Amino acid sequence: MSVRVKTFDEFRAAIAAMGLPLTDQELETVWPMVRDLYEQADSLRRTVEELLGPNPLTAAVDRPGGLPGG
Amino acid sequence: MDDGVAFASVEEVGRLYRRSVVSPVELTRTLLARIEQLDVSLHGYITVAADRALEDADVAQRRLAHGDRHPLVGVPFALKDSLATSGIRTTANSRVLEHWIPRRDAAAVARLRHAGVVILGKTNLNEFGWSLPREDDLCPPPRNPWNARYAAIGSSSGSGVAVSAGLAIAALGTDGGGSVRLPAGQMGLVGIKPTHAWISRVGSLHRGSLSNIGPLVRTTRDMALVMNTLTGYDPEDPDARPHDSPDHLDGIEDGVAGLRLGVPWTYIDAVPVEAEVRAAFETALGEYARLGASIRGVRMDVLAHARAATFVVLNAEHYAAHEAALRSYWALHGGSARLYLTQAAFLSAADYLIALDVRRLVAQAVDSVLRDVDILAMPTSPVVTAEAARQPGAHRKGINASFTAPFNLTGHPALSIPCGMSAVGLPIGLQLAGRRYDEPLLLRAARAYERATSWHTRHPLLDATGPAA
Repeated sequence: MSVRVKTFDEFRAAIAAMGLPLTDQELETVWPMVRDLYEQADSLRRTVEELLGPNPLTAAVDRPGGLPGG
Repeated sequence: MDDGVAFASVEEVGRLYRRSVVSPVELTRTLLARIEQLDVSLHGYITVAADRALEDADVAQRRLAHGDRHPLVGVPFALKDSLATSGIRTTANSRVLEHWIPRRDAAAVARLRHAGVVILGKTNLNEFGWSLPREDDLCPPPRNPWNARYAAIGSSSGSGVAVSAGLAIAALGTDGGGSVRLPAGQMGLVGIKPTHAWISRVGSLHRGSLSNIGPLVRTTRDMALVMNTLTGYDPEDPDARPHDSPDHLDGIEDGVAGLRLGVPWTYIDAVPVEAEVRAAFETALGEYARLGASIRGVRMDVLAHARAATFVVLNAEHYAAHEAALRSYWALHGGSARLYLTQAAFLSAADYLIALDVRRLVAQAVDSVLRDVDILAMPTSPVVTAEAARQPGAHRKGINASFTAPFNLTGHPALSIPCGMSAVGLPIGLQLAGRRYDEPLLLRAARAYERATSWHTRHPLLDATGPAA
């Protein structure tokens, strides 16, 4: 995946697109696992920001007026 | 022959061979008989290669007769079933590979064969080392020989069972987040995750950036002998780096007087460590102080993020390795493995790369602290039983790997030695971690503790009816 899924419906559609034959019960089991994985990945984003400072590109985009020329 | 020899160390086996007290064929027959008798209930082995083992033993006998002095000649080994073995099926406990017979040995296996060991068979693991064990797995999950009411922790669970139950003299496992050190700790053995890629991983089914091959043995001197045979630069392993090969026995008896042991108390206090684990750990630190080591608190707050980073990296790398097989052989994957592998499909490339950023930060922190102290000490596992580790919340958060996973992430060597016994009769492990390629110092520190205590001399009580329950 290059883009995260946000809802159970997106998750189910992605599984179907991948061609993986998960049962409804398996879908219900994996979805919380995926969300938990996202929580752990998000905690790492916060860690990196805390220890290395904000991503300079994000900081530039977020400043008043946005990107130069934007 | 007395079955007591089944619990001999590698060194003792060598002495018995050279004094002709026992022969490789006799020892191999004894162990095969014990496997037949006891493994029905323990499930340590997936495949027992009895005929092949007796052929190996016969060859070893002739090598000894011709004066071969290699310390591993004729020593019966068990190998985790995720390490390729030429002519012996290698399943990773998955129906996907149920009938796979590799043509080539894993590099580490080839080194053992060259040294003249006897390969008894292939040991159990949770499917592909990346799932919760289930009774309907290709081979059911192993039980802990020390108290069979409890499961043996993995993923190198079968290798731990084989050595602790006297069904092998030594074993190889693999360790991606603690999978050698955790079973070693819980089954009263010495287990190491060496410096990353210092034992070639070629031919291991776990080839990600965290996993390493590690031996499980009964004593630190045995570990030195096995490490002498297995370590070395292999250009076929893409992560390997050239480095001088030390003799791991050099200085092993030099003691710990003057050594600086760092203890990351802040991190340990933040992990839910069970009371008897903490008590055993503190007693072990007291022993080190009595032996002349200086015990120092060190701050490594970033360790708190190592577990999550390890989990994200392991997930992403497992999915990358298994993606094609998962799609092609979905129905052959077990109910747990297919779900564990599927979840990782939903991580983004950015998630993985940010986990690698954390990995660098943790590695810098460990390197920095290891400039001020010689060795880091902590419990191997915060919990005593596999069941506690597999509570839904604990398992998802990887609590069990709180102390082991950081060193997979950073590549530093770390070993577990026995340091206590819990109320339910399961051993407790002490983990020591050190500078990259400084395994000899780790072994020296472990050996000093071993000489001063008797935990490593114990083994589970087993009889014809199997392990105590």
